[in-house]
Amino acid sequence: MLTPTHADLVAIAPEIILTITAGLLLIVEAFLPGLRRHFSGLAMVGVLAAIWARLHFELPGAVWAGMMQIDELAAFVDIYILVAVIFTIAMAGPFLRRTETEVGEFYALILLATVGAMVMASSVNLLPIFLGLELLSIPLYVLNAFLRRSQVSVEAGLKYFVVGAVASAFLVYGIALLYGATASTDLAVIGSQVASSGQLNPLVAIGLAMIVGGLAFKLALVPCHAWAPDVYQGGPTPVTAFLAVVPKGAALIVLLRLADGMDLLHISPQWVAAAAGIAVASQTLGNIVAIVQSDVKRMLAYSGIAHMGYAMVAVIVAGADGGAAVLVYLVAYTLMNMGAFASIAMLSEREDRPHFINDLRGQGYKRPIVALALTTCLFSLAGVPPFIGFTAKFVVFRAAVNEGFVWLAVIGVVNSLVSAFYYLRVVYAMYMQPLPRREPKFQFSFQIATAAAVAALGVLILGIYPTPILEAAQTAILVLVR
Amino acid sequence: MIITATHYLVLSLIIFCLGLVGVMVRRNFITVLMSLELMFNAVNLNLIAFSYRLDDLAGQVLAIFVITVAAAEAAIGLGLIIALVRLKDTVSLDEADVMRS
Amino acid sequence: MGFLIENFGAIFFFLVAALTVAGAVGVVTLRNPVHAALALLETFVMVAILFILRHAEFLAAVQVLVYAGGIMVLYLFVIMLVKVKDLRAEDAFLLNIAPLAVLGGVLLGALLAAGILLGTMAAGDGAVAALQTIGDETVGNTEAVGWLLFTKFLVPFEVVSVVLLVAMIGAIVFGRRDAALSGPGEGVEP
Repeated sequence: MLTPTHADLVAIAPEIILTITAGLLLIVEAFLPGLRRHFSGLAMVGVLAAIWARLHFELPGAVWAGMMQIDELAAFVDIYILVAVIFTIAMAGPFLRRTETEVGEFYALILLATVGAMVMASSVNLLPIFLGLELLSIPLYVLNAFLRRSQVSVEAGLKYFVVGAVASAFLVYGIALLYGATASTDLAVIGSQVASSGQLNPLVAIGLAMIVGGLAFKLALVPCHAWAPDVYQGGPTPVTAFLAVVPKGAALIVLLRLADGMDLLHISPQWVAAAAGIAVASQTLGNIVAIVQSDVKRMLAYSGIAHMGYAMVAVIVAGADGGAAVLVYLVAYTLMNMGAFASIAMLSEREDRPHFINDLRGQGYKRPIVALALTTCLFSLAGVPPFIGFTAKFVVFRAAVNEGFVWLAVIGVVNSLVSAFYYLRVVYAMYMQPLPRREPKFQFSFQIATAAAVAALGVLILGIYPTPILEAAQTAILVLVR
Repeated sequence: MIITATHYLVLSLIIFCLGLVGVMVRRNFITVLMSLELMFNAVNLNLIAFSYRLDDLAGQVLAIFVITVAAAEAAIGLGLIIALVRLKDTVSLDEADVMRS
Repeated sequence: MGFLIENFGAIFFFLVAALTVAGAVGVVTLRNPVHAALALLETFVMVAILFILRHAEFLAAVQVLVYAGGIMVLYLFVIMLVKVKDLRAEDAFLLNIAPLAVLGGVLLGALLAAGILLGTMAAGDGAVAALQTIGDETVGNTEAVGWLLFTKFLVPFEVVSVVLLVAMIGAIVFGRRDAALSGPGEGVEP
């Protein structure tokens, strides 16, 4: 008989707080729709309370019959996810008011998706991982199609739904096969069985391949990347920012847990070959196709594909070095993307039209703060020092070199150089080209500008002084690596 | 002749692949959704077969969760159909494709 | 006759399996969505029978209630709502990639089958005692499943309840027709 103990409940306090806040938002939406202007504030309070709960309560370790593992790693990932959500909500308020779609459901769905991501990242059992992924994905299907009058938005929702549902089916089929092969869905049990047998039996190998395939869809890795540009372009920009950061982070943590638990680096050369192939293909294809994009959001989609390619290098390396590199990379990726998407959320006229790079011409002098924030984030995405993007790439490639994957590091560096071209093209348009004759009417929003500026400052400060993030990542990963 | 887990697994595999082909080939969104249901049903067959073979009830519990998730996905998918029909008066995935650039 | 009686279980399984596959083929190939839905219903019921054959009685009931009873009605509702008759029929297939897709599906299937056969051929089936026990006590399958669901799998159960809540919110978002979600700023193409 299992009765939830105090530790069990405290361990998921942030999730409980977020769920209650979401419920509250729905109720207020139903009975007091006049309060809509304050919804983003209420959601923000909920997220801050969740962060407080995660920092305040002690971390009990294994809870809920060993389903979840609330430790330093879970805390690190939770807080990174919650910070990303704060940025999302900050840019969502003005965005929804501009598009006249501000309703409580939007924030409720964002918060519930956050719960899903947190469950996924802190679970050590395949069942809650799958359910967390669903809880993360299903709100995003709805949120992508949230601007129901906009054709591109509904289309983005449709595409994300079809692709996401197929990915879920693959994932859960793989889980079923792993369950059949090992009689357990517990990652530790599966990992120790596989690691002790020293090789992958066919059933485990296929199950694992299907799980990785399902997660690769969420990460938009080649060859499962085709949905990303359309979904990025069509979805509401705050949702795109969330989609670009949170599901990818949670999926990477799951991949890391799998790779590390089974010690795939040492027992399966096929895994190393396949994953390295995926990483290289993602980097190369993402960076090359991004060059020809004329829409900023599509460009960032391909950039995201390339960046997940870099992160995969760290997943392959695994262990203490690789794991810490994944965490650092996630933090960097989050800040850069949040800053970039917040800027784009403001520098946009109509949501059902593409966000052309040409529309940004001359904005460097018209909207100096947002343009500067966008520039900072783009430089960082390109991996230019002293921004955090450089630090993250450095940590990843150093881990790869230390483990003997010099060639992966070299390909990564070459790819980074290629990528600088298309990021700088946006900067060039903003500062070196004159305003177009028909000036686009961008609505200034103090809230979005602040979000973009804070993200850019984070990119700069953590780039110059990365020690706190590096140390936190190392502490967090030590609980995973034996 | 004794029916073992392997028979069930092969059956489930056939259904899964049929569902996958359906998702890829059909352009009518309603049928795509139905094909997705096939894929989730295949997973359940797998889980039940393993549960019987391993003599472990966890597989059946897993299948309950899969059914629930499939139901939730179906609800969202059908909602998307309603949104698409209101906007474009079509359920064809090809006509809902303006973003190719 | 003796052969039939001896192998009744196997023959029954193959019969049901054939019907399941036939239903699945119907879903993928039938052009009229109502016919496809009926084929899907047939598959659901056959899968429920397979569940019973593998001692998952509770799940079989859930399968019939949720899938055949709930989801299928939802599908038929939507099919009626979008007035299938008004829709053009020609785009049921994306013909140019159909052969490729089928080939891909067959290849994937063959690959998976090889792995599954290699992985499971050796092992036999267990006894089914544990499917109906709590601790040492023999109970019904429903009770045993319920016991497990509310002890070991409590947290997934809570998560999945939130998933259902999300599905409900999603349906409301798509269903509502009020002004808040359809402002003039985001109008359809002029």
